[in-house]
Amino acid sequence: MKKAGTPYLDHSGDDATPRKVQDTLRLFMHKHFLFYDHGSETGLVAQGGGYIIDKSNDELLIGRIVYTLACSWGLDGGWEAKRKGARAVHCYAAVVGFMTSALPEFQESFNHGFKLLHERMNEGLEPNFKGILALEKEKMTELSDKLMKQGNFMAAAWMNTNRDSLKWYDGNDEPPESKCFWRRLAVRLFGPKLGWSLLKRK
Amino acid sequence: MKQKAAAELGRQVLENTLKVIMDLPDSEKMVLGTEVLTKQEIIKKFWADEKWAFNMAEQLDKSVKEFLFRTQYKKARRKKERNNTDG
Repeated sequence: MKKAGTPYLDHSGDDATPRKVQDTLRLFMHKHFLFYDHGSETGLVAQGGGYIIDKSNDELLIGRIVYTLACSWGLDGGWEAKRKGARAVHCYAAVVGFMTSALPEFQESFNHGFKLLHERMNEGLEPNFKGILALEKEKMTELSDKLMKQGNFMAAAWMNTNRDSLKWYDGNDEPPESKCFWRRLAVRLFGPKLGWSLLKRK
Repeated sequence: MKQKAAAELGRQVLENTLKVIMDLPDSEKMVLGTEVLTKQEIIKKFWADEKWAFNMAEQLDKSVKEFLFRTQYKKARRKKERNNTDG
């Protein structure tokens, strides 16, 4: 981003507290949000614990493109953030894993989607999130094959597992299957749009 | 007979998974979100958590099969295209 002259604000280490990041999000409405830290099904976790984003404040993401590598957020919170008005959400719907022996390949896979997005936006093109998702998955398959050929089977397997759980929610998605019985019933009875908005989630 | 074949398949998947784990270099670490496992910890977790072990075996097996299938598929398609061109 520095090379391309894209302005950005970085919160890392002690500066990545929920309060500081939330204040920045409030100050810069509709700016895009990259989050390279841990997560859970319901939220994006701050360094040292606590949530930066969870269901109580995910309106902070309205209008933004959100790019995250956080574990499992795509199972629920990421989908919910998109539903509540985020422009698009890049997330994983399972635990994100990697092997240290293949760190460069995993770094490449984790950053590839953002690079593609950044390039397109810099050229003034529409993001085309689903197109980027397809290219990302293709790249992960290519990297997995490379690791397989090197005999690094475990790393190849994790590359595929990450690939299979990667999502770009852009409004044209099938919702993830809820773990809540009542939610599943509501979706079945009234369809995804109404079913997902009927019951207040915990 | 079918039961015997299924048992044999299960044994093979388990053996292959264990071999992949045992062949990891001692310095290797598996990072799973906030959890960082050394080779010894991977082995310990494998035997302590059946569900985790199964998921590991399944993802390895699936990945190897996917890779082999893709390789063979590409080869066969190239051959088919060559034959079509020749014909």
